[in-house]
Amino acid sequence: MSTDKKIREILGKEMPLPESTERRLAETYDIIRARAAEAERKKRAGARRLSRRAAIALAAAMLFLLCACSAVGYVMCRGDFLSAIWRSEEARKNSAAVAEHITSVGVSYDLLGYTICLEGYMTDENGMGYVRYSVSSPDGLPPMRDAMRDGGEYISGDTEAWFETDDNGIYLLGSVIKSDDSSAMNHTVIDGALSGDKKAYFTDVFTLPGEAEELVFEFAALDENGGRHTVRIPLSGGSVLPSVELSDASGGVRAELSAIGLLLTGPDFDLYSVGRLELVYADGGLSLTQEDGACRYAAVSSERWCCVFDRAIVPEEVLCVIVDGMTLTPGLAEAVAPDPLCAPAAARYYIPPPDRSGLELESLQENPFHYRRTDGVEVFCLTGDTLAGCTQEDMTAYKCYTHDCLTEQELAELCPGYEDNYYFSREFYMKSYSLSPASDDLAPDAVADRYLEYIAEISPEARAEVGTVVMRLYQYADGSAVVWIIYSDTDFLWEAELCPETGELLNRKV
Amino acid sequence: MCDGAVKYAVTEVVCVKELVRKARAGDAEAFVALIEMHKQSFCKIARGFLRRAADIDDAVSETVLVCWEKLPTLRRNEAFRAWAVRILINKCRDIAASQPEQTDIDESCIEGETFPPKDGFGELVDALDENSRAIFVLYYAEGFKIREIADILGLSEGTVGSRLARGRERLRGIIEKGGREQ
Repeated sequence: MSTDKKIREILGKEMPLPESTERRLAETYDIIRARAAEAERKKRAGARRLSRRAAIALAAAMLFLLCACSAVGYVMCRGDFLSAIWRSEEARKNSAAVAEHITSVGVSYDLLGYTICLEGYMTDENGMGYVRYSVSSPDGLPPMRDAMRDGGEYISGDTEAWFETDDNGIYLLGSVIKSDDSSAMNHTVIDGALSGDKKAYFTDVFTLPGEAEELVFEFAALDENGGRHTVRIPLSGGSVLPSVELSDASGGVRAELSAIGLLLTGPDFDLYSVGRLELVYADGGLSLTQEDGACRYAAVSSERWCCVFDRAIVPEEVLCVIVDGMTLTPGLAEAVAPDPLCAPAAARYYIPPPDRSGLELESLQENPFHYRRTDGVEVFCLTGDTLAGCTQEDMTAYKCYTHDCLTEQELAELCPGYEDNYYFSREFYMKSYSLSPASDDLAPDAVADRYLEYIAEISPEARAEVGTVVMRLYQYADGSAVVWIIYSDTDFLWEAELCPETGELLNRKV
Repeated sequence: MCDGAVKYAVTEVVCVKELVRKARAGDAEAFVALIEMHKQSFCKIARGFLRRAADIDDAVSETVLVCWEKLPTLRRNEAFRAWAVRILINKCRDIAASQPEQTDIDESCIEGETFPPKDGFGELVDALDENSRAIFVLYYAEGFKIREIADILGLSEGTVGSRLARGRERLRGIIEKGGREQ
């Protein structure tokens, strides 16, 4: 039996858990059942349907009562809601129209010695929105962990950060947005610029699985005995952002567009089922695309696909929304004159292959995926550009060299047993790393030169033996880093992550 | 698409995705069923970081509680497993960091039951260097792909691949030696 199979057999076999583990889990389940029952009880208690006016009156009364009972009392939160949730001026460019829909709350509550302050919120009628709040303590906050960096402590910057248990055993669980019968999907990001040791500011971006109704902001914490404590603040009383209905060619309403988000409805959505999303403005300007990270937060539930934009838009100025080639227009389709700007925009996105005319290439100049240098070194290069520029034939011609060129299905058919290499596949790259490094000095040819020069410095003998170089140069889809992975038929491997703006080396392995 | 099925509420057969959906809506029994499906995985992964059974229990039960509380922040129902494993690994690292170095612990001094029973799993895991244990458990025991492991552990795919290759070489010797002794 091969080592691989033997390891899999030993590590993968079923094994009974000790009685102590089962017992401990059973206790944990009891805690969860109790919490679920308590939540259900509260929900039922508050489930009486009220008219909107009555709901607002009740919310106001609850706010007053909670504030009056709070040991901490009122503390008005300050700060500009819009500049807090949208950092850049570009993102705030169209925010004037949404400003009137921001509801300022500015009240604080005590939770196990910490002060939770809800600054304000903004929602649209499709259940998407932003909430801004802070957590503070004069004795300092618990340490935080950066959820996006596994195992990493929170250091600085805007990122998803979770609190750790404090010295007194108190664990701040964080915030959830809830409606009558469901919880929102929310993403909480710390405000790195404003947060300090004693006070941290957070922005919640959320989408509800259904329509926004009687929203509640809840912040929970566990005490040293595991007891759950919550602050619940109704998000009532403000005006919600209206949305515009968008129809497909058949006239069926498929989407709702507000100033802060897009809701697509239809069967069988998953998070990745929407690939290309474009909002086309009447003046021809392309306001934002999914590939540019337009969705600050995207989430899916049953037949709803939601995207909360990374900026404010003006729905009335949007000529159409193109979703994977399907054009959605405001109002009924037949009432809208077809506009050439709303044609599927594949051509606009075609990225020409790199210009290699200045190179003295011996062969295969027409194929940017593969070329031979004048020194005889054969270079295989994968970038977002080459993926876009190569034909399927170009790609499959090299399928035996690496799997970069294959789709998942082709990989399974042509290379059975190598399905694990899907992460090297064309499909995977196109999804994750759709951009090529922009800077000239990161052009593939220049990088190949640097790699070969490096080998020559270390070992001229090894350099003389290099016959093939395989390079992957790409930029993360979120634009956060440019990545090189270069190897050859020698032992020299380069892996590096560079800051796309400054060229600063973020991470390197040689 | 369902990636697994479990008997839920005696007769109802539902898939993981459906269980997550129900759990998100506050159904504690669905959540319990979900954890029951994953509990062995959780214990094995925790064993990649911790050696004492009590520590493994702590890590797993705390993870289960956090998962319940944080479930609304899960973006894709089908991503539950990787998401929960990430939380578990953070818990394990916290517990490991709060304890003295455990590399030279004498098994006979470990109080309480051991997990797993002495049947090769622990020996194989302990033969690997600390940085590779979780990778091996995730890859071989749990069937995660290299890309997913890289995501979960915050490593590059190349690093995961090279640690797998190095560890495989190391285990090859142990397995071959075991085979000869038998």
